[in-house]
Amino acid sequence: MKNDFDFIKEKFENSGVAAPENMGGDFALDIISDVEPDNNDKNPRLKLRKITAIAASVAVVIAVMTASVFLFSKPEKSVSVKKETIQPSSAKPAEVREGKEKMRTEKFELNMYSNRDELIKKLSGLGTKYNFGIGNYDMLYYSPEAPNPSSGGGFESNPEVSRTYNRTEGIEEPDIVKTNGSLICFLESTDGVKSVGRINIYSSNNGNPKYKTTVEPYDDVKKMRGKNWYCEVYNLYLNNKKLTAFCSVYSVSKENRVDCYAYALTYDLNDLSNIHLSGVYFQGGRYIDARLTGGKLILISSFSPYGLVEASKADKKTISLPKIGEYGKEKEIAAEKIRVPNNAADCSLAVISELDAENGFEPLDCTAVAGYSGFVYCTKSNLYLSAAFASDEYFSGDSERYENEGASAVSLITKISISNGLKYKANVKLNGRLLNQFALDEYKDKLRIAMGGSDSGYGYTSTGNYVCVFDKDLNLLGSTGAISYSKIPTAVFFTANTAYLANNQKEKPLIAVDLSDYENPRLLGQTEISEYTTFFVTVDDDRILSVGKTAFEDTFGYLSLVLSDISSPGKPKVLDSLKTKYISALNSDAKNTQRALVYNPKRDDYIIPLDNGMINIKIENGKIKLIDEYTAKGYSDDYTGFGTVRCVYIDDYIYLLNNTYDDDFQSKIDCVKYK
Amino acid sequence: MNDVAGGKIMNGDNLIKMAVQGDKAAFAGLYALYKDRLYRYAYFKLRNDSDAQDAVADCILCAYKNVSSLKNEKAFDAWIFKILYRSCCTAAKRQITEKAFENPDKLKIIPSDENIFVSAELCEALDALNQTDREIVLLSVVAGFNSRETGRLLKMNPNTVRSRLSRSLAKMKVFLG
Repeated sequence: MKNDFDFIKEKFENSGVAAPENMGGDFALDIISDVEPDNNDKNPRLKLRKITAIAASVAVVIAVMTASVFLFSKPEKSVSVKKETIQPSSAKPAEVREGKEKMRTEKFELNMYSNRDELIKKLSGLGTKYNFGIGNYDMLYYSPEAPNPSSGGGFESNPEVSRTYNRTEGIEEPDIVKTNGSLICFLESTDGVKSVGRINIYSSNNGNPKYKTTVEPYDDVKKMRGKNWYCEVYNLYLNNKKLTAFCSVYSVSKENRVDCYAYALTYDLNDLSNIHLSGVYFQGGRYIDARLTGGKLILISSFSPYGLVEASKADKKTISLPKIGEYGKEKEIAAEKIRVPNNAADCSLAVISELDAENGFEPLDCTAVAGYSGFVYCTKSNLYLSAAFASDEYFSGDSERYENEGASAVSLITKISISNGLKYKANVKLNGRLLNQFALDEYKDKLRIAMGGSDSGYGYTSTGNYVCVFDKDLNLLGSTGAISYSKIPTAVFFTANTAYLANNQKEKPLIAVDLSDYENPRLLGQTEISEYTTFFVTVDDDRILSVGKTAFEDTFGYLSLVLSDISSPGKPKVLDSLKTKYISALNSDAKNTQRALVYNPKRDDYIIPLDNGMINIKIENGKIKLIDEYTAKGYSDDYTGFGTVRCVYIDDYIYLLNNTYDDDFQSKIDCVKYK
Repeated sequence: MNDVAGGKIMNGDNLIKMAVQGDKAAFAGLYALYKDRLYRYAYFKLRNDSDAQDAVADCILCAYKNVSSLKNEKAFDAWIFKILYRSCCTAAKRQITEKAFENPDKLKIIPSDENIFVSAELCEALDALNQTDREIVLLSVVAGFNSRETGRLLKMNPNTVRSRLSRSLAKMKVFLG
């Protein structure tokens, strides 16, 4: 049976749309008859490549000659990483200013309805302003879920084994790879259409990894729901020998309605020859994220009561409330568990469930609040949901206009207490947009945020960056003026009294904002770090590492690391930098997500996957020290077909998880011993 | 795929090698192997025969001028479609400014041949998608890009590309199935 991809491909091929007769080879000859190819030497990048190649050849010759002289010395491995030390004095001051205009916010209450009919009536009176929040599309564009080093969350932690690099200490985040020391579970990339989300299981085998088996949630979902249901696996948890896969499961009706559920499918891995489902939990809406804290799993999804049909085009009778369920049983969330505002332009709901992670993910509580969730930030006590909408001023119900014209954005932040069941606490609406969970930080009952004011993310209507402080009820206590003029901050990092922002301004500044007086946050200082930062990593109290990409003329920079001294908050200064070069780092996942970074607390070093392998680095004496660079086995020069997306360490070995993008889309695992 | 260049029967790989060295006949032969796919992509993106022809012509010129920069011959497919993608984006911007306000129907013109029904059906299915999803489908299905290549062009995470592609195909199937 044909899959959707082949079916649609065939339709295109048989569409009869082909180049007209006048567009044959002669057509091309006519066009190029008076043209000659550009000389490579005129292209500075290619010229640089050539020079580098020549230099490399010379270096090889010298190396061979040297080796012949020092026959008994061990030859150095070639390294494609460029080490650059930047003296603080050489950094030009970034042109960052703070304006007078403060952030504007608006509070509004969410109401509870005691019976279902009343709630349905209320929801059907609301619109679907941007209910394409089957997630938050634009938030998924390279939206880094960026970092603070952490030893992991709810599950038992073993220092000899990799943990996901989490946002908050003690809050475990799901990822595409997890290991318990003996097994490595990897959600491989299958190019989406033949099977979305195949989980390969490998035994670590003391540095000699072996493929064991594959888990395919896609098949299990089809068995449970029927052949018209699709499944996309997003990430996973591994607790000893229980593997939980988080998926979006959906079907599309002829009326274009998309019914969607977030699934947590738990597999028992005790017997790898007989892996079986040991738990199935689902809730209405598209899977957004999950967090594990204090033995509880928090599952978040975004639900559209109209099944993603625009309200104006939808049959009002089709409106539904989100359901939750286990295996085949399901029930609607009780009306009194759902909160909606009096007046809103969107009826989407963020659905949150709390499950007992110690007892087979048994459901404990659930709730739903107005506004879909774009991303979440979780502390031990509270869950914050953030969603961005196009503002009233620009938006007219047309999603493409939002995407194409870059209407200005407003954000909703919703706070839910998770310490004793799930309880709605507060809500606030702001002008502008937050990038990811690192843009929020809870500190001493206050919420600090950094955002781009009125920025759609497409760069048309930016008015600046803001840092704001809210009280525990999300009342605004203080805000900076508009800082700089750039787009939404690309990375944010908070210490006790300072917020650090990086944005995409030309100078790529590292901006420090003083938060010691939370009613008067103010611009403190800045330095130029020259490169684009995706996320910050705390090295110690005085130093942070910016992970990102080189500020290239096009958007595809190489991986770059910049170490900065923040011991004097008002005067951050660059200590050292390291840039990878050539294609090896072009697609490093660490440019996009902190979850790709591995921190080994025992060695106090970092592993970063590259396109073709990994680098192992350490911060020593104020410098970034390259310990090892490794090219994965199976990598070929045809870089489009290969990618190391994650690394994990177990004891003294580093395992590399690679996706191949060739015809078989089979993942590959490789291993190298720590140097 | 084979073609004749300079009187010899050549396969695609040889043509690429010769084209990279600036051989015009080889380049034209190579183009001939790809012309239907290139045109199809441009047509379904721009929905207009003359704009599609212009975009392909622009792509040919740009590709030939830069052919010596093609480092990896195996990546010719992706390389030429990237050039076409950019040509089409330029053409699409031009369409919006020059045509859309005058006569939006121009954007919906379909080819006048016996397959008119299939094309209209495909156009309808594509119209059910938002612009980004449409782009993902065209790059993946017509241009043959993998999710990572598509992601790089559209500045999106490959995982996002995959999930959006999967959902878009499912949606299109409802119209075409």
